Formats: sequence, structure tokens, C-alpha cells
Amino acid sequence: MKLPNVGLFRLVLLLAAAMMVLAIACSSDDDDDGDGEPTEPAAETEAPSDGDDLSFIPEDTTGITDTEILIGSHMPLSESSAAIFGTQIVPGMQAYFAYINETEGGVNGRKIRLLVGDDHYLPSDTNTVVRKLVEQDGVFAIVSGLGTAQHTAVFEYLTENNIPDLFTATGATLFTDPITRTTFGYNPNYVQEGNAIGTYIAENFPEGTRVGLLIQNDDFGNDGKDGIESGLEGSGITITTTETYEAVNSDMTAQVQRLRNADVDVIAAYTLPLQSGSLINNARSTLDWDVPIIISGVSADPITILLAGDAGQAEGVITTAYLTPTSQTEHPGIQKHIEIMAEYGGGADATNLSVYGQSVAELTVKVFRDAGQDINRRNVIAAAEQVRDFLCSVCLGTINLSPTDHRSIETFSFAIAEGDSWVLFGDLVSYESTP
Amino acid sequence: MIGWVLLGLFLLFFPYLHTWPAASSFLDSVDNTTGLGIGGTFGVFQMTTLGVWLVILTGLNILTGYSGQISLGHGAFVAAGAYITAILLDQTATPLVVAILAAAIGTAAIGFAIGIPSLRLTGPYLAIATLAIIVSMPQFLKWDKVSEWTKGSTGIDLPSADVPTFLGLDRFMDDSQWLYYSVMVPAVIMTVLAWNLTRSRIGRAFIALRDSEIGAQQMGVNVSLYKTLAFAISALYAGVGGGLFAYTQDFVSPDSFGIFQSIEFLVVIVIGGLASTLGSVLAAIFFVYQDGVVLRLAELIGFPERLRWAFFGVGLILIMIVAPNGVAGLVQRLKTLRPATVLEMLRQARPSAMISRLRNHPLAERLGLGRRDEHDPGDEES
Amino acid sequence: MEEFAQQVVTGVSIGSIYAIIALAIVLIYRSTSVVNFAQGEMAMFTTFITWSFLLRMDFWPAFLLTIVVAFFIGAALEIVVMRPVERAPHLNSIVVTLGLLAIFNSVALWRYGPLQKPFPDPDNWCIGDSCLEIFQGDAFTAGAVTISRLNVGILFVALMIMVALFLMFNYTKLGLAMRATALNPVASQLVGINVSRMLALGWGLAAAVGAVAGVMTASSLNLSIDMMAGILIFGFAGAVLGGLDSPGGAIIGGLSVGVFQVLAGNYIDSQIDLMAAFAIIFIVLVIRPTGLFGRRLVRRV
Repeated sequence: MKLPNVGLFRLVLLLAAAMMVLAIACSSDDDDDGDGEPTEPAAETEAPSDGDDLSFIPEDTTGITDTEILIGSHMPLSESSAAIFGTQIVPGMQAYFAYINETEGGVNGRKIRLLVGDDHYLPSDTNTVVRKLVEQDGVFAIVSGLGTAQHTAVFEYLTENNIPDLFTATGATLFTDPITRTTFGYNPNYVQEGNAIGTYIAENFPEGTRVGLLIQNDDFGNDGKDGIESGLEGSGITITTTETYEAVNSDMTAQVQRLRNADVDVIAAYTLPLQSGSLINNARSTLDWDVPIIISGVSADPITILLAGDAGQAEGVITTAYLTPTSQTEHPGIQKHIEIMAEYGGGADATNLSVYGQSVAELTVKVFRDAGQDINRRNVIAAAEQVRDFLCSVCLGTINLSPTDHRSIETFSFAIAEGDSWVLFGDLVSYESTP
Repeated sequence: MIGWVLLGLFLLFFPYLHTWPAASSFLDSVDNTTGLGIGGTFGVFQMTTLGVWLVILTGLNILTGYSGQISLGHGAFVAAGAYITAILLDQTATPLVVAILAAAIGTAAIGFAIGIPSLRLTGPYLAIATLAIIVSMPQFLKWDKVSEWTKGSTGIDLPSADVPTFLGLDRFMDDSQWLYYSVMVPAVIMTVLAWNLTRSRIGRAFIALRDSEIGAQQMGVNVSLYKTLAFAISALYAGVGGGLFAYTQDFVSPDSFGIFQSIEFLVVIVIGGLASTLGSVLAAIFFVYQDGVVLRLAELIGFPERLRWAFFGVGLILIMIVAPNGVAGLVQRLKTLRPATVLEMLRQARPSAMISRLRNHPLAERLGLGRRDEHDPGDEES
Repeated sequence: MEEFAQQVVTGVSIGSIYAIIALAIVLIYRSTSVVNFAQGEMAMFTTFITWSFLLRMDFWPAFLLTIVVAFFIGAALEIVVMRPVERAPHLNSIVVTLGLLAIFNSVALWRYGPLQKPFPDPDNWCIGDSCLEIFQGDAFTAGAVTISRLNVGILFVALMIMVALFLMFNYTKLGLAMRATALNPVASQLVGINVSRMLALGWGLAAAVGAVAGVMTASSLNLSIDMMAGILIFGFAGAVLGGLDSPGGAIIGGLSVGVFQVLAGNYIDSQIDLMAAFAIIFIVLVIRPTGLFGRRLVRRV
């Protein structure tokens, strides 16, 4: 074996030279940023004042042919516990697109084809799969990218390249506030939802009530906490204890015990179904504690009630909902969804998350249809910003979007656990900001 | 020699290959048939990430392949490097190179600090102790006490890398090409350095350590020093790799470095080949391109979508059975082939010979299918 | 003081699950010296098998049937998949178990779907009218200290398995042969032990114990394809903390991981409970490099 013909000395020299080049290059990078600045924020500050000017988006028709609209999405489908989301939402979307393609010949004569990149819920993989979708597969738009950190990894890339980034599958506020013209959110954001929960507590509990929070230790939990705090403001009710957990933990025994020790009067939780189930089960069964519990709509799934244990332990637990639950089998939208899944779902079941998938797909179809025969990246954004009073077949409230409001679902309802399903109650709560 | 020149030229001109129509259509057709992802701007980006993982995996191979210490938490070192770089770029006006150097030094120091207590641990105990580090890392990054710098669970979003206007560079290359060179130059240098290192006194000491700690000691190798040194060097590589990761991804968050990803690092270096620079390169290639190829293969065979990961799992097991020393080991074996041995192999590959070999498999014996006669039909003809 | 007792008991109840999975990990390591990363997914998969049995029969028959099925799955895996890499470097078998992890996870997703499934608590043990009520019923309470009945049952099952294993490994020929095989396969072969059979047996047993762990986890939390993802890591920590070749250590280790986590959450900060717990484990390992009850192997040149 011969050593490669590169002496250590020469290597050091090379390294030094390379560093110098890079160092100089990077110091000039700063000037470059200085030059670049006016253009970008200009587009942003311009937006609210002159709402209709979308001219900075090219009338690009990548992914559009005479017969097809090609779109992409990033979802966790394997190698992560979040695959539970992707493997239900994707069939819901695919089934609805297949249904539209089959029964209506697609949108304006073009069939919709959705490619999904499996990002394993890792932001760096999201970056890879989205670039592949955009640069190699040539998709027209990214639809329903799932996950806050995951989508953050590609947010800037999509924005800079003016690629429509429609209806992200997260309730994080950072994609819709401040407004980025090419990006639209979908889920009600956790701050608004938290605010509604806080307001509910303020209205229904006496002054001096001690509120205990159980939140996931991430943006989902923190946004929810901020929202609840804002909802409680001025009511004389305060959060006295906050307990957190990591998503790898699904056993809430210790957290519930600590909330009990802190002697709280009501528990508000930003938890996923697994942890919500454990929370309810531990409070009711292990500790025999009938504290009122309010959980985030993320857990508004029949599975939460099942996981909470039998003997109706979840009875009376309150949550929020923005889509019709699959348990309402007499609802025409749900009936239709079950039909569509049976015919086009490729063997996947109709679940609350497949309902979610279909609702996003319906909004996407609506926007593509409105963009018209000459669909391109600019007019699809314009069409999305003109959505008014759109009620999807499974939605509870209407969707309104405008140049100053990119949050799709801003209306939801409270629901209470009765038997083995969530029953909606009270008036719709609306945070609609589009006049 | 000519091979090295060709490889160098290929790496040098790769980012421009897709701008040349003939080459571009060739690359695209390769992508279409194999699902590799080497054509177009995306191909350049893939190759850039390959450079990043190459640095990281080369470092892990020094620790695990050469010095024999199994780390399941290598992602934590990468995260440390990425965060040091990202924090410096985000909060100060540090130039990139300085930030990455700081990351390298800082991470090496962390590696040294973890290496000392780990001296006493071996085998699975060390593996699980390092796993503990990667499991607790996200909680640390999200902790209130440090979130001022780490930005908690939101993560640090850096501006995307633009080609500098310096020397009119922007007239020759676009952003993706600039990113490619700024990763590939350090990646190649670090790989060549690792190659030299493993052939030096230090490298030989590592190997002696791995094969027999007591034997190494008797030959005069300072066991504690070299074991800790292996940790520090491997962490230094992870630090540089992490810095380049932060620069190319322009985003780091506690979710960026999963537990499973760290385990996958180990899987790919075993598949590539332990204790081999070629093995690290193959590992990086496998790490980056495996997803696309597996997807394409599964599509071709018509594998159900939900079974994709099983397909990957079967592949892992098969590779381990066919190439126990990794693909690099296989390549090494192929190198020693003479025409005569090739003929011999071809002869042995004939169906009758294959069946007799299958009969020798323990499973066959167990099921009572083992061969009964002593004569191998393949032997008679040779 | 009462609060401390309460926190420890809470930790024990969380740790009972870790203890039982740690036991399965220790078993496979002790009989084959392989750390099996697929342990969690195998347990998940066999629990789905239990679930499909439960549609047709009562809890305990389904449970026993699963253990038998799991035993054969484990033994078959050893023969088909592990044997070809037996002589290869140690890391190769780890990679193969990771391949198995992928296969089990993926097949379960394909066969049973991504939805979580509710799983019943085990029935109490009854002979005639007298029942040992350790699985169902109200929680045990003493002042502020509470522990759910199911967690007591899980702990009880873990202890029973431990005693059975202890008796087997120390007082039966088979158990001694299995230990010998793991320690020194070549020498074992020389004294006439059928090494391949012992290895297959080891995997079978570990899969069976894993199946018990899976069923207990599913009862206490839920049944889904990802139910073991988090727990396996804590199980590993427990196994290593107790010492990889000590079944009793596995139980103590698993329980300690739970207790550390709860105490750290209560007395330090619930935001860093895992970090603190793992820091403690790391320190314990540095002081005792083969865990609390593990034996130190003396290796010759």
C-alpha cells in the first residue's frame, strides 16, 4: 500500500489557502446581505399596503401540463412514531384526488397527481425530499407539509423560489405571522385555540381558580400555553403550575401526581392522544380525582377516549374540534368520505386523520379550480387569497383567506366526551380575521 | 494515479455537469432508471450533503472502526458542532470559517470530556451510555436556561447561503454550486487527512487497541490516551460536519438529530466497511442515496407502500450475510481477482453448484435437506 | 417524607414496564451475547398477535398462546437470520437486529395499520371464587401514596419471570448449558453442548419474555406500532444499569430508571427529567462499568 501522494505540509498549505478564500468570501457575504436586504423585506412590507401586487411571483407553470397538475408534499411515513400521521393523512388526500380525477376528470380537465416525500420527521430529510420534489420531479406546489421543525427547514427555500406552499399541516404561528405571500397555513393555530380554552376557563370557573397545565415540551405546548395565558388575562384566574413532558414519554403518572400535589382546580393540556389518555386515566383511576380536564383539539379523537380507560373515565372531558368527527356516521360529509375511502383509499381506513387529509384536498381542489384554465404559480396564490366562505364537506366553519390573512381554519367548536365519542356543544368560536 | 486525477476532475466539475446538455440528459436518465438523484440542481445538493455526511461518518469510523469503541450517540456531537456554528453565525458576525473552526475545537473538547469517563466502559455499556447522551440532548437544547442561545424548540433559522460577490464569483456559479464547493473542499481535505492519520502511528495504535487492549498496552501504547484521543478526533470531525450541516441546511433544531439517525450512522459504516476510508466514503454514499434507490426498487417490484421499510430491512440483512466486512471488504476481495479465480467463481455459480451450497446452509441441515453424499457435483467437473 | 415516598412509588410504577423489557434484553444478551435492537418491535408484533387472539378467546389463554408463538418466532429468527452472521464481527449482528426492527415495524404497519388500539387490562387470577386482585380494581392507597393495581401486577409478573429464570439458569442443566454457550461457545461445543440449539433456545426465550413485556406495556399504555419506541431506550438503560448479565439487576435497573426520572422531575425540573436521569445513569456506569450487578469479564490477550 502506497501513501497518497499528498504530503502533510502541502495539505496544511492547501487548508490555509482554502480558509483564507472562505474567510474573505464570508466577510464580503455581509455586504452582500446588505445589498440584498431592500428587495426581500420590500416584498413583505409591500404586501399589506398593496394587497393585489403579486407580480414578484413569476407566472410559472412548472408541473402543469395539458392533462396534469403535479403537486408534492412532505410527510413522515416510516422510521418515526410520527408516521402515524402521514400514513393516515396521505391516503385521505390521495383518495379525494383520485375521486375528483375519476368522477370529474380532474380540475379544469387536468388530473391532480400528488407525490409524497417520506421525510422520517427529520428536518434535514425534509430539505432533501422537498428539493427533490421541486428540482427533479418539478412539482407545481407543495401541499400540506407536515411538522413545525420539518417545515421550517424548507420554508425559506420555498419562499425564495416563489413556490406555492399551500396549507401546511401544523398550527405553528411562524408560517402565517408575519404573512409570507406564498405560504398558507391550515390548522387553527395553537395560540388562537389556547386563547379560546383560556377564555372558556375564565367564563366558566370562579375567580381564584388554580389552573394546572400539562404541555408537551416543544412549540406545540409553548404556543398553547401562551394562548391560554392570553385568554385568562384579567379574569383573576392564574396558571399556578406547569408540567412538561417529552414526546418519547407516554406515561403521565408522575406529571399527574405533581399536578395533584400542587392542588390545582382545573387541568388544561396540550398533549397528543397517547398522553391525553394517560392523563385522564391516571387522574380518574389511579388518583380517583375528578378534576375538570380540558385538552387541545389535537387529541379530539375517539382513540383518546378509548385510551383513557373503560368505565367512561373520559366522560365530561372538554376539547376543541374543527372537523366533523368520523363517529358522526349520519353526517353526509362523513358518509361520503367513508364511500370515497372504500373506493379510492387503497385499503386504508376512514379515520379522523383521513378526514383531515380529504379536507385539505378539497381546499386545494377549490383553489386550483378558481385559478382557472391558465393556472400558474402567481394566479394560484391570487386564487387562494380570494377564498371566501368556503365550507368543505367535513368542516365545521367556513374558510376565509385574504392577502392579510393566510390562516385557513380559524373557526372551531368545543366538544365534550360522551360515551365513546366527542359531542360538539355551544356556539362556534371564530377568530376569523378576513372581513 | 490516473484514477485519482479522474476522481478529482469529476468532483471539481460535477456542479457544472448538469449545465452541459449531453451530460445532463445522461444524468437524468440515470436518475429515472435508478432513482439515485444525481442530475440537475438537486443532484448538486445531494452531492453537497454527501460531503457533510462524509466528514461525520469518517469521524465515526475512526472511533468505531479503528479504535473499536461503539458510539450510538454520535448525533449529539454533530448537534454540538451544528449549534456552536449556528449560534455564532446567528448572534455574532463571525465569519463562517471561524465559526466552523470554533465548532471543531469546541466539539473536540466535549468529545475529550466524554471520552475520559467513557474509558472505563466497553461494548454495549459504552453503546448505551452514548445513547443516553443523544436521548437527553433535545431536552438540554430546549431547557429554559440555554434557550436564549439555542432558541428552544423553535431552533435557529439561518439565512440561506448565497454565493458571495467577492472576485465576481457570482458570475461563475449559482448558490448551489457555491455551497457544493464550500462543503466539498473541507470534506475532501478532512478525508485525506483521515486517510493519512489511519496509516500513521496513531492509526496503528488505534487498531492495536481495538484488537487487544492488553496486547496494545504491552506494545507500549498508552491505552487511556489513545482511547480518549479517538473520541476527541471523532468529535472534531463531527464538529466540522455539524458546522457544515448548519451551513447547508441553514436550520438547526432539537428535532434535527434523531436517535434513529445516530443508530443509522453506525449501520451505514458497518455496511460501507469498518476501519477503511473507502468504507466511510461508501457509507456516506449509501446514507445519501439509499432512500431514492430503495424507493425505486420497491416501485419496480411493486412492493406495497407500507412495507417499504421492511424492504430496507431485508436489504440490510442480506448485505450483512453477503458482505460481512462491508462493501469495502467486498471491493477489496474483488481487487485480488485473477482471471482464473473469476472462471472458478463462474463455474461455482452454476445452478447445480448453487444448490449444493444451499444444502450446506444450517437451515437446510436442520430441515433435513442437507446433502447426503460427500460428492459435490461441481467438484467432479473441475 | 411522605412526598418522597409517593414520588418513589410513582417512579416504581413507571419503572415496572422498563423492568420487564430490560429483563428480555438481559435474557437475550445472557444467552447469546447479542444486544437485540429488535426486541421492542418483536414485543410489539407479538402483542398484535395477542390482540387478534383476544377477539376469539379470554385474556390468559390468549396470553399463553402468544408466548408459545413468540418462542417459535424467536427461535426461527435465530436460525434463519442470526446464524449466518454468527461468526462475523459483533457489530454485524447489531446491524442485522436493526434490519429486523425495520421489518417488524413495517410489517405491523402493513398488517395492522397505524391506529392505536385499546388493549384490555389482564383479568385477575381466580381459583374458584377467591381472586388475586392485582390487575384490575381500585388503586392501592396509603395516605398520599398511590399505585395502580395494574402496575403492581406488572411488577409481580416481572418478579415471577425473574425467579423462574434464576432457577432455570442456576439449577437446570439446560440453563447452565445456555450460560456456558454465551460465555464461551467453542469450549461449550467441546464439552458436548449443542451450541446452535442453545442459541436458538435463547432467542426463543427472550422473544417469549418480550411478548410478556409487550402485553403488559399494551395493557398499561396502549397498543400501537410505535408503543415500544420510547420504552425500549429506557429498557436498555435499565438493563445496562442493572448489569447486562443479571436478571435481578434488570428489574432493579428498570425500576431505578423510573425512579430517577420521577425524582429528577420533581426535585430538579420537569423540563429536564430525562437529562437528569440519564446523567445519573452515566455516572453510575462510570463508577461501576458493568452495571450495579453485572460481573466484570476478565479477558486474556
